[in-house]
Amino acid sequence: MQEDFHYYATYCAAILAGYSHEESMEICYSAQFVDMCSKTYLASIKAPLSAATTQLQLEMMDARTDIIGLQEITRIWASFHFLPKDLYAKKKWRPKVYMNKYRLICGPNSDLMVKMVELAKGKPLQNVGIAMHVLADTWAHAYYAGTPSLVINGTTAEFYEIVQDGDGEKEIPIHFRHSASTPDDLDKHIFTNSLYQGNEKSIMNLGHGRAGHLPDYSFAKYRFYPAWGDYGDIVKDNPSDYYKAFCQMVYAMKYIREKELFFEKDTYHVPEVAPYRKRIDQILRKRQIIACDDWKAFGEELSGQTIEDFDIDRFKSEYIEVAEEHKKDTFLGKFIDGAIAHKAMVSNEISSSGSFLAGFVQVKIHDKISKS
Amino acid sequence: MDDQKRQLIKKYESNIILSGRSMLFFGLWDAFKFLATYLYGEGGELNEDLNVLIQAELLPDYAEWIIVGIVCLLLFSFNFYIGAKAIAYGKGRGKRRVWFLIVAGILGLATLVGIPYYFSDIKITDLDSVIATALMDVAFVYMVFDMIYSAGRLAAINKKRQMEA
Repeated sequence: MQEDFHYYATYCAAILAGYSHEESMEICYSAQFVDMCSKTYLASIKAPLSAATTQLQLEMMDARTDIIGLQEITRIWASFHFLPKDLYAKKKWRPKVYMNKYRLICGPNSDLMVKMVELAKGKPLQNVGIAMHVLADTWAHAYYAGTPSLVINGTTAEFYEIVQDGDGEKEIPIHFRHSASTPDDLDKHIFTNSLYQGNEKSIMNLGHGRAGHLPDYSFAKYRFYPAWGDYGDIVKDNPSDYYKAFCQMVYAMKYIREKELFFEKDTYHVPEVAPYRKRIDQILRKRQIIACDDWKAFGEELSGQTIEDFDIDRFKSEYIEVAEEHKKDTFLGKFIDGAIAHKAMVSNEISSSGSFLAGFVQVKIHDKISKS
Repeated sequence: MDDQKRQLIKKYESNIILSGRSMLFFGLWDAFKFLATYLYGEGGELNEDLNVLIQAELLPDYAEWIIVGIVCLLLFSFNFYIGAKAIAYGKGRGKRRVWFLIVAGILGLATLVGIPYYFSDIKITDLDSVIATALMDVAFVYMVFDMIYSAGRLAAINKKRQMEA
């Protein structure tokens, strides 16, 4: 997902869940910051590099693709952007090497997602923001895995966008090109994707690179053939999925605020969201590259307050200027602690399932060291 | 049509297209193999016959290269045509005629029968190149029979669909 959903839509969801404007700003900032917190940024503020929640393109270009490098990549991407749906999935006639990657395929309503939300209860708002980012991405990035793999993340060249045609729908072939500097042409159904690389562990085969930004466009409904699908096709209905993601975020945050007793999978009927269903649907289905303005307007109507634009450096000086022993109490300090804890939880769940693709994590939270 | 049938149809069509594309590559390989054998092989019959005709001045000097070029082109074109037909068959373009499968089958069978002859009267110094050539031919045979099998399964599924319709 993009800034429109991770920042502004998360703000809207937090307001509907009952958080105040200030709390919602902390949550949505943390959610968006997951897409910004790279090793490069952490090095610039002298923060622990193990807290990285994303990798810049330049960092990935230099990334090693031996087991150490692959574990580093998988730890970040599987933890924060492609949370695995079923770490114990079964598939006949496949060796362990294949199954280790197959089990990393992302999808919504996983046991890991439930555990993540439950763990966010009683924790700082930064943890809530991280959880909301990961939850939202389980919907957008479904069917792809957070590890470089051609046999999992590869696709055929056949992508069809499903658009309204009168009372029905029609399919229009999508054309991909490899031009990162050229914006996607929504009118002509021309999108940018990553270059085909025959190497199984090439960084080009990480996540949804072969589908370009399609999974991150809320308006897109499309059909494609994933490599893991054994010639079966998948119809990805982003407007429907994004709406469910929004409802689930509100439900999760109500649970975290103790307004719900339990947090259960596949629960989307949230009374707070129902009155705004049509408005949200309009935003999601509007054919545009990014929907920040629409979500921002909606959020400001809900809260009656102004939503500050996202600024990556907003809390930077606070973290840099404070003494070492007090860094953990700053905004970024709490985010860093939350990111490390989340990464440790997911990586060790993956490790417990019998896969070493994410390695394991030794957790150091400022003033104590523990293996989690 | 249920999902499983759709998946099977897609699988077999994909196999046939892949085999068709492989035929194009093997066409290049056949042409290259002929050229290498002519240039570096020991007294190929064509080489001897052409030398006789050239020395008798019945053919110009350059005639040998023209003839070799034509043979290479024929070898490649033959495979290319079968491969193109296979790709069109797999993509469902035009009428699905099967004669190319028969020709490919004959080619595959001939290749299969010829593989053991690579190893008769073999020199130890040639072992690596003979094994490499034999493996290429084994791959070719597998590809051809996979194409025929996939086409057969595809036809069976489509026939069953028509009967159910």
